[in-house]
Amino acid sequence: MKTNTFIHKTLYPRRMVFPAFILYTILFMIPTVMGIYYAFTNWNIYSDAIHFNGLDNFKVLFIDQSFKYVRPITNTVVFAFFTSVLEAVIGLSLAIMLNRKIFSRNTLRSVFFMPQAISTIVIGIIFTTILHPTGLLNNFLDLIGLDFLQQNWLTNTATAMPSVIAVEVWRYFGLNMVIFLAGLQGIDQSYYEAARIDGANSWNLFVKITIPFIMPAVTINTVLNIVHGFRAFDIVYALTNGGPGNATEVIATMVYREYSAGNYGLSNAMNLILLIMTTVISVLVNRATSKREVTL
Amino acid sequence: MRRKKGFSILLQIVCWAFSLIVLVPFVLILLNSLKPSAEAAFFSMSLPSEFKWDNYVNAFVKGHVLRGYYNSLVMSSASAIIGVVFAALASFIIVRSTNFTNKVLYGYFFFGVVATGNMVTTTMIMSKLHLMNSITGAILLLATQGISFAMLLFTGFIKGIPRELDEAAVMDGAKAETLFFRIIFPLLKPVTVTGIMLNFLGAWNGFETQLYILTDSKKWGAILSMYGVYGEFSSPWSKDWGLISAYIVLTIIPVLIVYLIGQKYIIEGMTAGAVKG
Repeated sequence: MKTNTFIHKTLYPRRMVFPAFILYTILFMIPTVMGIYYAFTNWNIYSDAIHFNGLDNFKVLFIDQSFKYVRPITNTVVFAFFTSVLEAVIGLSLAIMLNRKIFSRNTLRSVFFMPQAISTIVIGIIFTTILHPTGLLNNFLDLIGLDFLQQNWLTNTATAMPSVIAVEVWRYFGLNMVIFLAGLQGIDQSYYEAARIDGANSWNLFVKITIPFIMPAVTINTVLNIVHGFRAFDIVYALTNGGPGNATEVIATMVYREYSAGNYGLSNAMNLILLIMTTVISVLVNRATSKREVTL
Repeated sequence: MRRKKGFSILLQIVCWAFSLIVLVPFVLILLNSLKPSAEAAFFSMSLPSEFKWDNYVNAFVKGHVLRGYYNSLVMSSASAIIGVVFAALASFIIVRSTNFTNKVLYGYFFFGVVATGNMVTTTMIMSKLHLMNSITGAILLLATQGISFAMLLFTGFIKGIPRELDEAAVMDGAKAETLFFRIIFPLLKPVTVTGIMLNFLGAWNGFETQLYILTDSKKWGAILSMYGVYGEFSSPWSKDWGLISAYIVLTIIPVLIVYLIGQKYIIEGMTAGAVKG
């Protein structure tokens, strides 16, 4: 036993964790913890002394100027909800199609995943031109005789948010697809054959076999989608910068706006709300979906 | 049987039609990059009336494309290598030695996959450490941002490597680091390549980090330099879309090359890590 512990310690010394630990602690954990502290202070560019001011920042966010700060929070929730659902639905549909033995499956997979490799800011600028009043989308609607649908997609209050959501979905459905595809490919075909012999129809097969087996993929996609949705910054910054008005303002863009204005305490308070939302939702989703996973 | 084949062809058509949604924006930007400014402002899919290669020349001259490439290349490769090597070392210990401290450490690192970073306090720490507006600072921060996800990949992969290999090495009396770099690290090659490529792409495309950290435009990477041109050289009401499109194509090309070469590693590694993790 003693020699085992000795071997263990010489083989797996803790010092090998240190490089990652030090970097991660100094540049990620300490800023995160400090941010929590500053969320409860008056820290801003104009004051010399930073002092604790309790929940004052949160009062400003939720009460004083009601909609200026509450709107970005509701926008973030709406954005995360719709992007998560659409990305997963489109991703799963494509994964099911590609899971069949179709020619050019790998090429299609690469094409669908490609937006993941491209900078969000670049995607934002490209879609600014597509959604421009004289841009590709409106030209296309004109071409197919749906010109009455033409819009100033990004500057109209009603269509700005759906447009930003659509671009985010464009960016992420491929990631969902590859993760679902990996899940689908892990299902042993003999389950389907056995069930078919017992007289199950396609819907039964999907609900009773496919869904339970891809639950791990559902969990990981849902968590990633929600986290990406909550954190969204670049895409909003490039497409609308929060406008028109604050129709597409989300928490991350508001954090940057308050930071640029020198309201560091307030900026940190918004960031803390984002941190809590992200952590809580990820834990909840993980709990809720992991119960239904099939373990082999 | 014939019905099945017909169905497969139908699926194929549906998939390719859907893929146009991904491909068209790239074709659009390529076409626009070759058009004169006035024509590019129509944002249409038509072929250029004349091929204006000057857009690319202008991008190189006015937009400092080469400087952006150089900065991006330095920051992305250095941060990817640092992040991945550190993550691999830590993952090996955390997976192999499953005591309480290491379980806590796993949760500690995993928190970074989920939690949002705080750029405001990060810039504060960075300036205390004299790392603001420095390429070294950007490299260290970008490396840190890649550590958590890389650890998710490595921990999943290392679980599949038999322990007997480690014990064989201890008989030779090798040091832990020697064992790791001689025997274990080569076995991690597929996931290392995935990690390096993902972190490389993440750093190349990481706009927000550079926006906060690098105030001197001479230190900007390709994407931020392009965004500078997007905002600076053209007023909002009359942007030179030909020039901007050419610049965008130039910032995308290196990334697409990495993606096309490494797509097998990127896609398969990412899904394996995600599904197992």
